[in-house]
Order: sequence, then C-alpha cells, then structure tokens
Amino acid sequence: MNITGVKNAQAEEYRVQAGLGKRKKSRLHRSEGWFAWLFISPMVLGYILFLFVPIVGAFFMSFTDYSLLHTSSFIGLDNYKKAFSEDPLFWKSVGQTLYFSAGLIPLNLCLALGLAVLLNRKIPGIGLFRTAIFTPVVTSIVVWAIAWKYIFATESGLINEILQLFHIQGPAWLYNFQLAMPVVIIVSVLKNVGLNMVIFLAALQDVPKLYYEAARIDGASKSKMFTHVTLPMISPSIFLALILTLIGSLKVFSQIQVMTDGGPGTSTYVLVYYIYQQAFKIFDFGYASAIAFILFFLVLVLTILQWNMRKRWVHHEE
Amino acid sequence: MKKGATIIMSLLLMLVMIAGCGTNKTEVKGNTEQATTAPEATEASQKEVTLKFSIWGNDTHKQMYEDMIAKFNEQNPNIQVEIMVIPLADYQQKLTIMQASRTAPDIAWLAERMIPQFISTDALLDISDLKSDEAYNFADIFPSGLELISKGDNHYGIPFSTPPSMIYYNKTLFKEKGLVTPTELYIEGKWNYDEYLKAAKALTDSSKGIYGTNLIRNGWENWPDALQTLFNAYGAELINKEGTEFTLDSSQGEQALQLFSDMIFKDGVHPKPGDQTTFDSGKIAMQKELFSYMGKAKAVTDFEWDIAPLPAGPNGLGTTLGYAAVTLFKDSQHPEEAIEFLKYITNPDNMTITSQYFVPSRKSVLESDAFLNQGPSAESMKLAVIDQMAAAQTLPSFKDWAKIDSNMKSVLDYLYSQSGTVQEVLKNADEAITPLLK
Repeated sequence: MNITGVKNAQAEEYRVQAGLGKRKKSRLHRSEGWFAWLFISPMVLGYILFLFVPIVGAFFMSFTDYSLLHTSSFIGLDNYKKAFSEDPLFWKSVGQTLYFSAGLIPLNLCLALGLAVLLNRKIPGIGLFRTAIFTPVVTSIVVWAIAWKYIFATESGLINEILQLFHIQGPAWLYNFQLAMPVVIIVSVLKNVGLNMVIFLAALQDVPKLYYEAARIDGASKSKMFTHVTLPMISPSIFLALILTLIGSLKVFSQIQVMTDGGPGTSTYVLVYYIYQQAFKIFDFGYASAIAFILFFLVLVLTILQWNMRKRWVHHEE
Repeated sequence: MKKGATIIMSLLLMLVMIAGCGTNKTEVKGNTEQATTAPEATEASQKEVTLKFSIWGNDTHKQMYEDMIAKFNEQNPNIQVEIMVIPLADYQQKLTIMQASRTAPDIAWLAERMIPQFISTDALLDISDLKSDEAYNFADIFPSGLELISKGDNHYGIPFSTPPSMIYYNKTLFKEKGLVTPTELYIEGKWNYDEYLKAAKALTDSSKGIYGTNLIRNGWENWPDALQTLFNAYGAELINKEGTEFTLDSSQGEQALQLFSDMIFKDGVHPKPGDQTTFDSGKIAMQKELFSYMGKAKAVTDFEWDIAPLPAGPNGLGTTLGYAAVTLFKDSQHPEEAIEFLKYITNPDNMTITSQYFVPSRKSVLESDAFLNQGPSAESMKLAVIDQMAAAQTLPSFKDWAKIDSNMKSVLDYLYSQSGTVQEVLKNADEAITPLLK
C-alpha cells in the first residue's frame, strides 16, 4: 500500500466520522479485505487443519470405543457414563486437578503481587532481579521440571543435601503420597510467577501518583494506601492474571509427567495426565476424548463464571 | 465472505499444486537414477530402499549393528538401513502409535511382554518361509525360544537374545571385606538368599555410599524385571497361567515382596526408590543384570568384577530369561528387503557377533567356544549363562499387559513410599489387577 492509499483511507474515515453519508465500499476497501485474508490465511489454515478439525474429530471419537488395538464402533454416551459413574480414578483426577489449582492460584498471585510491589522501585540493578524472576517463564517447562526433579531427589538431591548439613533426614519428596503434589505446585509457581509479576508491574506503574499523594494528605497509612488505592486500581490486571492462571492450572501436564509420572500411586493424577494415560498408555482414545471434552466444559464453565463475577470485584476498568 | 472463501480455496489449490510438484519431481529423479545406475536392473531387488530398524539398546549395540549394516551394504548396495533407538520404557507405546499412524519401522526388536499385543492386532509379518531356506538353517534356532513369537504354524520373528538374569559382583569389594564370593558359594551349593543378604549387609558402607545389592536395572518403573526373579525363587506367581486370576497375594508373594522391602527400608542394603546408582560406578556390590550388560561392564577399569547365578530361594533359583526377537511389521513397503536384512542379522556369523551382548538363540553359536569367551571367564559363563538356560523362565506376558503394568506400578508406589505394609499392597494389587483379567 502506498502513501496515497493511506491518505485516501484516512479521508474516507473522516468522511464517515463527519457523517458525510455512506458511500458504497470502494474498490480499495475490497482490495484491503483481500490483503487481510491473504495475511491471516496461514494462521486460519493452520487453525482449521491442526486445531479445529482435530477438535471436531475428538468430539466424534468420544462417542466411540476407538482404540489402537481393535476396530472401533459407536457406543453413544457410554464413555461419559463411565467417567461419571463407574470410574473412581476420573473423579480422583478431577479432585487433584482442583487441588493443584487451589494450591497454585493463591500462591502464584500473592507471590507475584508481592514481588511486583517489591520490584516496583527505581533503584539501580532492579532490572537484574526482574529478569531473574522472569527467566523461568521463557525456560522450557521440561528442562525446568527435570532440573527440579534432581533438586528434590531423595538421595543426593540439593534440598536433602542441605538438610543433611543440619542433620535432618529429608523425606522422599517425590515418592511421598502427601508431599508429591505440593512439590509440583511449588515448582509450577516458581516457573510461572514471573509472568504474573510482569502483568502486575505494568499495572502498578500505571497507577497515577497523585492518588497516593491525595491519600497521604488524608493521612492514610501505607497498608491503607495499598488496600484502598493500589488494589482497586490494579484489579483488572489481577482478574486477568487469575483467569490465565486458572486455565493454565487446569491444563497442567508436563511437570507432572516429568517429575512424578502420575505417582506415587495415582496421587498426582490430574485430568490432562489421565487423558494422556488413557490415550497413549492404554490406547483407549475414545474414553480419553470424552474426558478431554469434560475438561473443555469445565474450563468453559469456570471462565464464564469468573467473567460474570468480575463486575462484582473489579472496581476499575477502562 | 464469498470472496474470502474463494481466496482460501485458491490458496489451498496453490498448496496442493506445490505439494504435487514436489512429489512429481522426486519421482522423476528416482526413475532417472534407476535408469542410469542400473540399466540392467529387472525387478524390485535393485530399487533404492531405506529400511527402518528400531531397537531399545544402548550405543554399543547401535554401533555393532552399524558395522554389520556396512558389511550388508557391500552385498546389497541398494538397501539402506536406518537405526532408531527408542528407550525401553516408551518402546511399546511408541511402536503402537507408529503402527496406528502407518509409520512403523520395517524391522523391530520386540520383548516378550510386547509380543502378544502385536500378534493379536495382526501387525507382524509371517516369516515361516524361512524354514525351507537351507542356507539360513532355521532348525538351528532353539524351538523353545520360538514358542513366544509363534501362533499355530506361523512364526513372526527370530529370537536373538535370550539372556538369563544373573549377578554381576564387584570382586574388589568382596576381597576388601574378606568375603566368600557368590561364585564360590554357588559351587559349594550354598548360594541362597540368606547368604546373599548376609553378604549385602557386610558390603554396605553408607559412609562411602556403597550399597550391598541392587535388583533394579532399567529404571524403577520396570518392576517385572526387578521382582520376577524373587517371585520365582519364593514360588510366587503374579497371575495364574490361564491369565484369569491375580495370584500374588499368597504367603509366598508376601515373603518375596517383604524381602525386597526390608532390603531397601529395614536393612538399607538396597538403593531407595528413584535412586539411579549404577554398578559401573563401583557403588553397588552385587547388581542383578542381564548378559547384555556385558558391554558396559567390560568398560569398567576401576575394579575387578565377575558374574554368578542368582541366589536360590525356597523354590529354587528363580532365574528369569530376558527375551527379545527381531520382527517385521506387516505394513512395511519393502517386505522382501526387510526379510533379507532379518536373515542377515540372525545368520550364524552375525549371531556370533551379537553374542558379545546377546545370549544367542542358535544352538551352534551358544555351544561355541567363541561365545564362552565373551564373558569374564569361560568358567563363569558356563555357571551363570549356559547352565541356567534350561531352567530359566521368561517374564510373564499377557494380552492386556499395558493396563496390568500401569496399575501394578501405581500399587507398588505404596510400598516404595512406605505408605502401606506388604499385605496392604498385595490387597490393593488384587483390587487393581483382578478387574482387568475378566
């Protein structure tokens, strides 16, 4: 597109804004549409081929007993019935997914907010700390999980070696039914806390200084200022971070697969791990697809709920 | 909107055309190559072919095959063979998925527990025709080894490795402590689990991180490999022969599992779950391993070692037999070339070469001096390998193995994490496995 093109487009816009009457769409407009399609076509094609078609395929697959080991047949809602009424492991996985989310979200948000407040000052070298906390976000989750698997190793793991210095016999972190999930939660928090921290940092820097000034003149304490100025002002960001973290936590898989492989026993089975186990270890693709769709609806429902709740506790939204 | 659709259509068309051009080109290239390099070529035998060959072995095994392939290419310059190494823990899973997506290798190693699945899904090529191939000498292969890979009169592969499990022991550590070695005890007829435990306790030195023994090889998730010899030695059976009933929750099963649990948690002579200490580090005094470990053991220079049979339990030695066969996938585009390669790597000459790591399934090779010289000494080889072959049993294999394996693994975690007693673990195992056997 050349400069005159841009100018023409601007002129057109002005004319419309000025209420100078609607003109038929010009040739230029149509050719712009053409360009737009051309530019997004790789994305659209990729989406259709690699996302939409497989999703529809999985939807149909969830009504069959498709398995790699035998021919498949249509079985209606049997897979869903099995999940809801006959499979205790499915419910256990649901429970553990919620346990993971319930552990991860508050920890992640509080830590991210704390770090953001702490790092939201202009002192030399602060960039280094911000970078250090953000680095794990751009690290591969598999590498991260493997490194932490070694750190939490029972013998010759870093943590237990340190405990050894104080003559404390460290537990078998990843082989303990009570400890495995909390360890995975902590490792996941450390991995992703940087992302929320950056969101909060950006929000904090957007809060106009004059509000604090006004609060100070009114004699508000530091903590009052935080709860009555800072928090309401950044509530849209908190809400955004909450939704992102919730959806991410429901989809947790890699760190579980690498660090515990669902174990010990089935104590770290979460929904996506269970889907993987059913599909790629037992080859029951039909049932795995059904669980995947149940997860899909769970995410959908929770997101809609949160979206509706936002009106109640987001006080300030542009 | 209509416009958008047309654009998408035209883009799709373009893509198809590009793709089409691509394939056309290669085809043309292939044809001309064939025409110029081998004008007198008559049939498929001279076509350029690449075969995929999957194994779970280590680098030394891969290198051995690569040397073999180089020689194979002297006679068959048109057949290239590409080796794929897949870790044992993922092997069955990966192959099943490759088979479903029609990308399975042409030739594949299969272990005993994978075979029922691939035979029942009709994935393997019948190679019974080899029986009439005189040069190949099919009759030389132990018939007992063929049973697992056959159904009726059809044979689906050639076993190439049937190693009995055994103990690799660190002779230097035994000498330092002035202990009688397993070999000596075995010759005296006293090599049993009591003596074994006594030795393990004497050899354990936690200040140096030395463990008396280790039954785990290939990772903690590979429980049948670790435990089946104990089950056999104590006369416990995981699942009955008919595959209809879980039978490990017997007093024998309890005894066997209790011994294992005590070695780890009570006596501390065995590494804890998740620990990956290896024999070649010098920190394991007695390691249960297979003959195929020989390559790695031979690389050890820090200490002396030897091999001995497993100790005896109330029910005898309980030696298990590892099992691996080379098989061909039915979906192969080049079955003739694949058979050619299978014949080549399992012929007597090459089985002699593979016998440096794999206990051969050919009588002529097993009984040869060349094989006896593959171990630390001919005497040890006779005691730990040759003499054990007749009584050793292969690991159990059942049709729904993936599910049994997965459930049993989960249940054993209660033992490994000390969250339940042996009795409770066996009760849970019964509840987890029995529904799968119906």
